[in-house]
Amino acid sequence: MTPHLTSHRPLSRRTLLRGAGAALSLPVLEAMQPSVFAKAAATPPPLRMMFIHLHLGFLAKNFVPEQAERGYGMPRYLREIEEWRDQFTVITGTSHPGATGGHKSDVSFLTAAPDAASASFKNSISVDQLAAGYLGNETRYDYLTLGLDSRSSSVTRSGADIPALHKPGDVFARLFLKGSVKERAATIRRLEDGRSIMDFVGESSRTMAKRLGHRDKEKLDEYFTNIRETEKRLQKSRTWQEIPKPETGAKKPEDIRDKSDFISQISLMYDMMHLAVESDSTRVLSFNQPNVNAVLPMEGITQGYHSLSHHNRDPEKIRQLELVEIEQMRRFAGLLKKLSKTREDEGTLLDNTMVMMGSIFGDANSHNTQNMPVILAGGGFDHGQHLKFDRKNNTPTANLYTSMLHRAGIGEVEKFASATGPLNGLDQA
Amino acid sequence: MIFRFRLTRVLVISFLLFLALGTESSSADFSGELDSFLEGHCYECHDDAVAKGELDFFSLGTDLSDPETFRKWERVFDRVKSGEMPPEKKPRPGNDAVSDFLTHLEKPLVAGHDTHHRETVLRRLNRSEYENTTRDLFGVEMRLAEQFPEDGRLNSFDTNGERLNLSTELIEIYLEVADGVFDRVMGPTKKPKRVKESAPFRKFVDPKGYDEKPRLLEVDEGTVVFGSNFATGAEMEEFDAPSAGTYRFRFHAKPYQSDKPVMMQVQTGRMTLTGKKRFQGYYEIPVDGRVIEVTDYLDRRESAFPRPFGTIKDICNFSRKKGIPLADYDGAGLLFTRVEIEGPLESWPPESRSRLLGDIDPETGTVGDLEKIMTNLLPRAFRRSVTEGEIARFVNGMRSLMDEGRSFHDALRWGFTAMLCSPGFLFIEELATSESSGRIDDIALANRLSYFLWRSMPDEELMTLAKTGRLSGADVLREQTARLLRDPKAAAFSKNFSRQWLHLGEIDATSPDTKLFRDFDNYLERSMVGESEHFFAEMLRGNHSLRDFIDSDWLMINRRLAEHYGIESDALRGEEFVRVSLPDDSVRGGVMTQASVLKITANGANTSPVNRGAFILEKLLGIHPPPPPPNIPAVTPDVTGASTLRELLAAHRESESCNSCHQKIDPPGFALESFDPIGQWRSEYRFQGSKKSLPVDATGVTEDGETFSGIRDYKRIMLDDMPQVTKGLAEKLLAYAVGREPGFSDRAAIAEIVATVTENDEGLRDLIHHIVQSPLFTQP
Repeated sequence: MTPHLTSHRPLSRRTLLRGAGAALSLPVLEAMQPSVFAKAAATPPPLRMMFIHLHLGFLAKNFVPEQAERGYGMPRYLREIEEWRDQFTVITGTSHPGATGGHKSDVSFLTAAPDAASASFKNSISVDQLAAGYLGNETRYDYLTLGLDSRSSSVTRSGADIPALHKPGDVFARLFLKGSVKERAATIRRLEDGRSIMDFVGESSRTMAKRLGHRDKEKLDEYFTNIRETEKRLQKSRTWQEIPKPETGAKKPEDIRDKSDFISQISLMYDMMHLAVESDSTRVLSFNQPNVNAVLPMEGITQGYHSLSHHNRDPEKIRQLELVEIEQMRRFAGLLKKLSKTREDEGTLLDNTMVMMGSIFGDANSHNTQNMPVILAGGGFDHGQHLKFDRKNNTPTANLYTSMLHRAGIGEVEKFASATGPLNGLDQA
Repeated sequence: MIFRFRLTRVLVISFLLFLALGTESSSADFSGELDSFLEGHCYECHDDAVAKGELDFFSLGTDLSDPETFRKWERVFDRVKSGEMPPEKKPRPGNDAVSDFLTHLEKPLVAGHDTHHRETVLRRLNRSEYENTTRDLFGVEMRLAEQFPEDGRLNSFDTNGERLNLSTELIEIYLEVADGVFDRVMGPTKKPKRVKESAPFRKFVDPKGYDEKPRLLEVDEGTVVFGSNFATGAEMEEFDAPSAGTYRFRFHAKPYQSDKPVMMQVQTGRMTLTGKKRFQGYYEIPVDGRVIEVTDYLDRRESAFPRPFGTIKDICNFSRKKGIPLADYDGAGLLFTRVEIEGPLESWPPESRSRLLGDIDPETGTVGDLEKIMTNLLPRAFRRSVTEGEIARFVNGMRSLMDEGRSFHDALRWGFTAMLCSPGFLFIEELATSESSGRIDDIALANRLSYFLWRSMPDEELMTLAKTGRLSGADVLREQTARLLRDPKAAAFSKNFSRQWLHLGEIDATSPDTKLFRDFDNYLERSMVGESEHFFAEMLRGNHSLRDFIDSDWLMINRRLAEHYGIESDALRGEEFVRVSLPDDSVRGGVMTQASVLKITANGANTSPVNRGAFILEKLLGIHPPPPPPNIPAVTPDVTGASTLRELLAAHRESESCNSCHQKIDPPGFALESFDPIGQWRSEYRFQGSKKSLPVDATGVTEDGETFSGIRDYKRIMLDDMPQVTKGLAEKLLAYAVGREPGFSDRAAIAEIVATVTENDEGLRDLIHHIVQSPLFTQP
């Protein structure tokens, strides 16, 4: 399915201001350029970031190449994406220092916060959210947090989990569905009322704050900050109501009806991620594929995915697990394919999109968080390598996040979370 | 001497840091008095060079406001107190030296915890509390919890303010949900058409399956359904709820071609392939038939889906492949005769609307009417007294909408939504009465009690007592606790607490190996959860001795579980959970041998004494073994059957540092080795694809050197340690009730409760009363 995208009439800034009513500083909206998708030659295409988390990871023997040099022999799983050999780097021997807590440790995938299971654990901002703070302004959505259920991998500055959109159809609606005139009027009214309610309750929290203790005030501050942020968000949505959503030839996807067929749901979500960047609706995306125990409806698979991950060296379980993991890789290849087949200026969408895919688990069988499997594709790096770090003494995965942030022009973040610096050996092309 | 010097230097630096930062430090340097003990017995291993167990006294410091520093000193206290430290092979300090050390350390720890770590942090309602509170506030039952993302948890409970976070996404959901609640409270604008039908089942179903082949068999008495899967079951697609509302279905069903009961299952929802469906229940249909009643709130165009369970899955496929017409199929099915449908059951206009509006007509409503509504509503919604100023603020906000020409209805919606997004509604406020009393005020107490036992807002009686300052009186508080526990709303406590305590939500995290466990099915899985919930509810209802959590001579089970456990009883009544007495020599009874616990702690194919042991230790004894050190891979079973996990574990118990924890963790796990991954009794391990089997060895030695021969013996040993069991449970209840983890300064109060409860062999309700009465509950 290659969606057919058409351009539409550009908007003048004045139309926009008139429509928006209130005075506010406007971002440079893509819609004001000649076309949503074909940008003026002078402006280089924007850089995007995608973070994909596969909770259960991969069997290391099929993922980790033996050689470290270019032209390394492709292990079983990487063969599924061999077509893009020069457009991705496989990174091994990295992890988040202090990541413990079994399945609970997955909340640290994009944050690198240690000790997820401890009582005093407090999560910290995820790399995508940090990036969205810089890159989010210019698009309809600051970011999209996607998942297969309500959990995303993204975490706010104050350490709160951000819920995920988990129905591809809903994502599609946000990106493209315009609604009838009546529906749009209702939306506008809802946004405006919502904004005035935020304004109103924001004030009331101040009255309440006078009577509370220290930690309570911090919690209330969290509430207040979020109310203010929501107000801004509603304001932004309100502004964007004046700008028609982009056209697409793609159809709204039907959710996969068979809950056990999570792999098809993943594919649909990858399609949405491609559409989201292609239409420049957002530049930062995270996609969390949580622990599921469904029996994938595929020939030869009889046990749940999570149960298979605890293979305990049982050859039959390993055989089935390999089938699932190969399929995972194939679907990921589908995303790379779409991105690399979409032209953008002189290059492709993949050239301008950093796609990071990995898992908190180096070995889900034993809940081991060392040696995370990581692939970084696209985004204008000098790819084709296997960056092999010490498997005994891991390098922080946050070094990779730091490099990605720098690539996106966010140089002021010198080191992200547990990073010691950018990732050695990963250079811009 | 050099150690001494270094420690002093570190302390001086940290002290100077305090001063520099202007932090008020309650953790005055307490190390001086401990120094000789530390130097004589601790530094050898725990200095900056060796730092065994990641403990280095030289970098530790005495800033007890730092959670990590506090935790380490607490651990030092505990391990010295238990005699684990200094280790056996080192010279022992004298008893006086130990008690001296402990006394000196205890004081700063109590003070440090009380000052820095004891506070219950302001928390928002979690999603089930939100749903219950709107239900009690407006009188509307809505499925709201599922519209919110999952709440953060601390030690498995979702009542801790530190983990109940907010994001802009959540705030937007609050806006959206409040809007939906308003619509529901006001009800439909026109009176909905009411359905009341009683007709043969065939009227509501399409007899043809997905491939246009018949899937239902018409006989004289009614319609037979054989298929138990979606495509060939009997979704009632010929009935669509004409409008949203609560509908009651009554299905008249009877087994067909079966001299045994046949199970039935019912879902409601959209009867399309992709439509969302809600599970309603499993029901045992006896040979002479039964009427199953299902009541649910349906959205417009939703319907119900009754079908057999445990019969052939895809009858269409079977019939086509074998060339057997349905009439010749001789397997079991369900015969449906009549169906009665009635709904919406709500009156119109709904009661919720008149409750909100009184006699105000929204068509002609004025600002004065808005004021009347908010004056009545706000104090209830905020669950406290509200000032005139607060009401005026709301009314002014609503007035400006009306001034803009918006309708009364719009203005009311605005105020209603603003109210449900206000901190007053979303947060559970707890004010101290005064600095000196150290108690939360009566209104806060009413909220705490009500959210503890009902997971919802206080009712009028509770609020009246609170407002008049009578609630905190010991007798009144006791009466009210008893009253709340008697109320049907207390089911929310049993259900939520047992679910979170025992991780029942993880029941489907792994699926049993289908080849090894052919009998396993969804009905059994749901029954497992039901057993644990009903067990807790019965403990509460009967105020049974806490000893029953370890070993009871009764169970709460249904027929499916009775078969699973190999128990026979006349008391059994189909899918219902009933109390069944156990023979003296039964291996069941108590929590740890419930199938739910045994399944949740296994991974589908294997059991691990480590996982099970750690679970029992934490859940029943309140002992939190530290997580395994990083980079130590878990010991995983060898599935080829060459050796048992016990043999593999033996190796690592030989290492001293592993053994210090594993001598505690492994024994309960060993005792439970007699139970397979789905909780059935076993005497041999089975391996997939292999005829080989190994005998189960459920013997072991406890940390204290007591040997046990199996699970019954192990339970007996646990029963000897009821103070520990009681303490563990009291801490869990307290964490759930108050929204904070009990800590060092709570130890004395908990010990007092534990002593009373164990001395008199008291029950679960008694324990709850003690907790509510104690300062642990009545202080901020």
